[in-house]
Amino acid sequence: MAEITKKQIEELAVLARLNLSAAEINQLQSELSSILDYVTKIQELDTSKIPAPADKSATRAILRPDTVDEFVDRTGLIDADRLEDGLVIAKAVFERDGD
Amino acid sequence: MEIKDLTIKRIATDLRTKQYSAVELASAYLDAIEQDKCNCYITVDHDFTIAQAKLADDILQQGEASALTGVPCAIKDVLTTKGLLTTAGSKILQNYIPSYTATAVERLYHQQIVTLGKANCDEFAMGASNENSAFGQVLNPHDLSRVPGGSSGGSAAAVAADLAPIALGTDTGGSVRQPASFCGVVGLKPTYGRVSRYGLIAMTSSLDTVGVLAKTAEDCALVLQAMAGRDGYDSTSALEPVADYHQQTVAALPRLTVGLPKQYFIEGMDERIRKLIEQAVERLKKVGLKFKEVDLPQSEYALATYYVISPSEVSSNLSRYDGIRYGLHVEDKTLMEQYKKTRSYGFGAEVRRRIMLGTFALSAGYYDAYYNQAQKVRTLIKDDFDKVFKEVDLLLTPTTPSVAFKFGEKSDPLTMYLADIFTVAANIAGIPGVSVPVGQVEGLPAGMQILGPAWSEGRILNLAHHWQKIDNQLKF
Repeated sequence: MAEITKKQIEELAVLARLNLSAAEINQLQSELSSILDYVTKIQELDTSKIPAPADKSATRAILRPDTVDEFVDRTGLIDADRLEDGLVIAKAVFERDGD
Repeated sequence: MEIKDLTIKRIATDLRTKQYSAVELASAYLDAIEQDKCNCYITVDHDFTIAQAKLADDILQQGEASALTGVPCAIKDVLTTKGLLTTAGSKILQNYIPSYTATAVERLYHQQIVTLGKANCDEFAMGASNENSAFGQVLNPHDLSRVPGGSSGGSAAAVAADLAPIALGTDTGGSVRQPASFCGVVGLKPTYGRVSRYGLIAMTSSLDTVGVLAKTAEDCALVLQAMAGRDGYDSTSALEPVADYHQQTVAALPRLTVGLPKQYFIEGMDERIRKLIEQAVERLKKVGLKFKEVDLPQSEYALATYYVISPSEVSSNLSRYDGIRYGLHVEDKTLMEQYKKTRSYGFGAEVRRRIMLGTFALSAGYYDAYYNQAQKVRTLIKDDFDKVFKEVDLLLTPTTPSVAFKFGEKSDPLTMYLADIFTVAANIAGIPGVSVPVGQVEGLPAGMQILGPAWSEGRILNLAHHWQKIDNQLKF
């Protein structure tokens, strides 16, 4: 059984920026262990001859001609009430000492 | 006025012979939607709809209309529509009004299709039952105690319940084909890259496709043709020229060789569905098709591959929902707590589960064994299909192992994931597929899936169209 520990769940939650209750941690531990148990079977296959990255089905990025394309709908993208002096008003993301 | 069993062709004729106007047609659908018991729609905006219908009537008057002009359409709520609430079925976007429209939708607007509303769906297109929507589950119009399938449950149910003649859905692991099968309608998944993903709220970027649900394969072809083609805003959209899919769909059926992959007729699938497919095969043989058993040896790994690749890309794509620039924001003392609270409150259980799974598969020490390995196995799966398409023209399989199940029946996540077992391989390989009704099991619809090589949308729709004719499904 592919085991995933409670500690791993807690660490993953931090990486994923999620709050999990004790009950949710328990439940996820059991659910993820069972799902991982199932998906682990892909390791049975010998892929040593396949170069990485191996995604043949996705189209490679196709580039457009290197010419200037004027974008004229700036005001359409952001409402005027979110702009001040040409800058976008957003929630504070920097913390200062004492905040 | 009667809106039962309407198709694009029928509507196009009626509008031109003035049986009704586009505004009258849209109003009739809006009235019906008000009585909807199935919860097919998250957002309906009468003014928005009528304005589009008025524009369609003007174009019809001027004699510049196309087949799609004035045709009402439901749009899955993971496709952005400028000025119209777009939630992706999630609380975290419950107040999100996009500033742009998805290219696929914009191209339909260009032909004056009329938006009836934003169709309900599993949150961020994750699910196979539409039980994961933050805006309530969708009910299967054939049996209100059962799921419509997912994640495009609202789209499929709307078409089945005559609450839209056509609908847009999205298919990443089967999310158009599976609900089409459960609701008794036609569901098309095009080749990856056939339709632009610009404006499709990203779930699994290397697998997501925009698809169509309708009553007929012919309608699917008409919509596909209008949406398909290279888009400068989506670097993964293909340069492949857009064929006349409609013409290819209604053309005479050639003498094809169709493969029946043995891995798709397995223990554990409903025997009654197997019988329906076998009966369909016999009837198709009578019109000149040849069938042979084929082998897709890597089939058993497709679902596992999907459930490594998809959650991985999901965990990355959904990291943008931080409550800062748009969407739900939960206030707290520190930035980290704001992120965690916003996301934990805004995302439902299935979304959180997949984010966690993906974060694991991508983390240091596990990346090679899981994500990297899955991407390599993807090549093996695609190679299986490439080999098989040298032996046969198309493949025929059941769409789902069972008919629509009851609400709450698949409470274990892994059991729910197995509902997609016949549909995921096509997404992994990037090939197109269509589900077409094949009969009923105790009154519940069953679907038959036709798969083809990349860019063969015309051929798979052609077979689907002729099957519908043989099976007397084209009564409209």
